[in-house]
Amino acid sequence: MEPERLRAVIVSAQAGDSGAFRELLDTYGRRLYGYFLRATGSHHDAEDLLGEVMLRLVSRLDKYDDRGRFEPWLFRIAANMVRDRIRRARANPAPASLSTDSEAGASRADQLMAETGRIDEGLLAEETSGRLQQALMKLDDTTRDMILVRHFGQMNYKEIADLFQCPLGTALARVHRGLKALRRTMGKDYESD
Amino acid sequence: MNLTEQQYERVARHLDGLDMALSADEQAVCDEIAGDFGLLAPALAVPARESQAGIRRAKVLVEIGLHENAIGGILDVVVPAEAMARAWRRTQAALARPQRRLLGVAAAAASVAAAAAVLLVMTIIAEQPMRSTAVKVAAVPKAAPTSRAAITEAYLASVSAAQDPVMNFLAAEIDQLEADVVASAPPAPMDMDLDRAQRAIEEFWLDDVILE
Repeated sequence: MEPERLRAVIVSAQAGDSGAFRELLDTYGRRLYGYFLRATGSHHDAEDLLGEVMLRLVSRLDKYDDRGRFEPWLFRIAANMVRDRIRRARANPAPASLSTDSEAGASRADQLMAETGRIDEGLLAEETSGRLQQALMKLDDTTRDMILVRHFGQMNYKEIADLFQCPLGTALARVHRGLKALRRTMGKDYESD
Repeated sequence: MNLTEQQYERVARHLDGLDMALSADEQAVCDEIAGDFGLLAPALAVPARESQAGIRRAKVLVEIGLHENAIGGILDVVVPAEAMARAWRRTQAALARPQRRLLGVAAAAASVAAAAAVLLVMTIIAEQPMRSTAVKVAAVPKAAPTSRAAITEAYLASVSAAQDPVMNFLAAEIDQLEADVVASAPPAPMDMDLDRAQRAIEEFWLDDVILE
């Protein structure tokens, strides 16, 4: 969306225009969903978080001022929600008898690594995509999130460093190491793509 | 290839669009990162059909959120400062009540302890005249023998005379204790005001009901 158009849409949304919110969702919905899916490994969580982030947008957009960039602002909210979700999932792991996409919506972050292969197998049809998901889950939370907000949120490294409260050089070093680890884990699939 | 923190910082600034002259190593890392993201992009992308359900649900939630905002605006009311102040006074009064109750219990316990101490002291004092009376009574037969009934009567009279102040004092103490326990501490003027206001409100509503 062009900056001028985005500004106008945000102003309309701030005035409570539902059409403007729909436009924002159409513009950012897929990227947000992709970010949530890759960060949690669960379609159920991704869907839940997408709804939640839009609700937060409805309640908080009036606090957004146009001096900053909208996308980093939006993805900062999204990243905080992911971190909160993972923290809560670790603090209250779901009983083992429940399926991964439980009714309660709890993503079992601790078990994702082992179970990612089975999660949403039908939906993550492409093998490379599934393998990438497994590889992502092997990264530590912060490194994974840095790579994902860079890709989906199109944040620059300064914004990433601010979001994760670390020096600029550290942010890029983590992203670099994470990408190398992904390349190693993905092996041939990664090279062939 | 690994760089130092400072080198990574320079590369980050370059990638963020700042005009930085990079060394060969820095440039190599910069290219590697850009290349890796290029390779990742197709695999990271989520097919549109997979996100459709989530987007549809989010649209519904947005509608609901907007309605809630609108309704919330209508439902919200301006709370009069007096009402807030009154509520706070009542809260404070409620908070103070348990403390007053505790003070009452403490006072009652202190009264009991005082009464027990006074009883003990008075009993000791009372025993002294009793012993002297007994000695006198025992000595009487030696001097001038009298009847057994007269001795007993004299003894009882002396005991009764010795114990009367103690009993009176104890009775007064018990009365006082009962009064302390039964009657709680006098209400604060603020509580009395609140009670008066409460009565006035109740009477007002009662009047309305009666008028209807």
